[in-house]
Amino acid sequence: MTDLVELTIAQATEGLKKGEFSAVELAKAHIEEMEKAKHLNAYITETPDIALEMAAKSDERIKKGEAGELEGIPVGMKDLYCTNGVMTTAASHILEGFIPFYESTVSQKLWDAGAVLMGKTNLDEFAMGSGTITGYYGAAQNPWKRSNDDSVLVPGGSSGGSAAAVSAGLCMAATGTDTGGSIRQPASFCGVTGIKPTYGRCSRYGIIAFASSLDQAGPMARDVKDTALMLKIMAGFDNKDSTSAQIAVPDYLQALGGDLKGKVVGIPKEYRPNGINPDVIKMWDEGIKWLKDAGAEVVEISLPNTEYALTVYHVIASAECSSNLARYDGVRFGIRAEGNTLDEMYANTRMEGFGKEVRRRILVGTYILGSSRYEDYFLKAQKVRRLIVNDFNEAFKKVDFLLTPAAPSTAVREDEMRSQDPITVFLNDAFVCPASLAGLPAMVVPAALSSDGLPLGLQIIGKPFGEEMVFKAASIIEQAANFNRKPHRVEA
Amino acid sequence: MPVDIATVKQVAYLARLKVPDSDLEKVAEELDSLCEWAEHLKQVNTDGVEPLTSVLDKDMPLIYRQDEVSDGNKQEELMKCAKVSADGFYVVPRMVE
Repeated sequence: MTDLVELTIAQATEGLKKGEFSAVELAKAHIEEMEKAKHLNAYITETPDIALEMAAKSDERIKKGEAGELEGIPVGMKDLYCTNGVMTTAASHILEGFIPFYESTVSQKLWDAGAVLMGKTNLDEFAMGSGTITGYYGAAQNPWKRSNDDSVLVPGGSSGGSAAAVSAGLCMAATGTDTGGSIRQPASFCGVTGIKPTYGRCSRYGIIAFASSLDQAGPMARDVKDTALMLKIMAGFDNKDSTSAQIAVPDYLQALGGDLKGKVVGIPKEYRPNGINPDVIKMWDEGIKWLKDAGAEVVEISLPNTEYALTVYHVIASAECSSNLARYDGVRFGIRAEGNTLDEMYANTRMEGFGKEVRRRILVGTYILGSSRYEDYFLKAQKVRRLIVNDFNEAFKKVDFLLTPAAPSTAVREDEMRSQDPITVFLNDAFVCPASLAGLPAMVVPAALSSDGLPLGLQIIGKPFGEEMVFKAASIIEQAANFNRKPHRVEA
Repeated sequence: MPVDIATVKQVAYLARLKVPDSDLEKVAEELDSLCEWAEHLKQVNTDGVEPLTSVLDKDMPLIYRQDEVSDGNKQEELMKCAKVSADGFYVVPRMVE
């Protein structure tokens, strides 16, 4: 029965409907696969008992003809989403033992559609990282290896546990969050599909905040269709998040396929920096050709402020995180250290509870928000952020969507990333970060293998709330690329 | 202007992080390198540009909901999340002698 882990959601739904297998069998197959793949550390908390219980209920609903759109589908939940009764850590020691008594809106929508929780997936601590290596519960591993060496590669980050789990067949789809590329960059590194929808498309209620003007929820899955179905369920206005948009959610599945006649694709010339992996350029050129073959007109465009995006991102995200993480004070939830005074207790708790990278960002953010630096750095970054948004607005007067590579390289070796300074690590996010600053929908779809056998992804960036166009383009690339989307399973 | 140790101590206090004395120098270096990196933003002409605080700021004003009670009576559940509590209150170190 273990081949069940190789199905797509669409295939599994069909099999469940026809009674070829049950939701419990589907869950069991994934639990077995998770057992074999412990070393990937894709999950912080596995929830096999909950999975079997939910799957049994799914089987009942299927029998009664009341199946939801994701009935019985095994899903991994990034451990940044609060889940009622299940420990939620943000991969941080400071939240150790935190069991929420409420459910994030997005996860609730998935359960309401019949999805089955396999566990809480690993991430960088508080989603701050690009490799899923900064968390308290250890690094996650990429199921992929280079063809010529056996070294451990990062799955990317921060949603690296979700990417690894989807890639290895430890769930059929997973949730991620994307603040500066945290869904798309790991999708590229692990050869899966993922979308960061428009800022405001999904509710952020119950998702642990990192940088509130950037954070957005999104799905990861093994093909475009499954990703579209996941987003359709996850998206929508929520009274509990004032930044969620009161805009109807289209049926993204209807947008897939067809051709691109009459559509114009923008190719931003700033996305070809020196030192970029030649395999990435080759894949990009091929992607351009596929879109032309589908009838699209391709034009070169310029996003002149691209080179400032990473700096702007780091300044804004650090500042926002230093505010958001002020809530971890040892009083209301999580761990608590001793201290003779209230301030001492706060400072000791936070020093003990936060890891190195999170502390670094809190200090940077606090410094930037201080009166002497506020104008030069924080306000300046917010102004340049507007210029970056304006660049995209200008481009979208001429084009329907943009095509870029997802990352300047393939997955990096774990030991290599650990030895890099923070700014070098950020460079992995150079292509995914600008769309985050502009709040635009952006999707990564695996498109090719590098010369050493690792997945490479293409990114499609759309207009605000233009996810349908993004899904359409992604489905056309997916078909042309013919990438082997079968899970990269751990050998028994 | 390089960041001095007194500034690092002040930042650490504001952030409520007990940075050990042995790490102060390193934090100063990190703040310096960030500032150095961020220097290149100064090249950008932003005269007359409004700072962007949210991508929703122009076309999509935030939604106001009715100001009515929609939740509550969760004291017991909330207290379960706290490490130390007594009689429905959070307990913190003594602040007043």
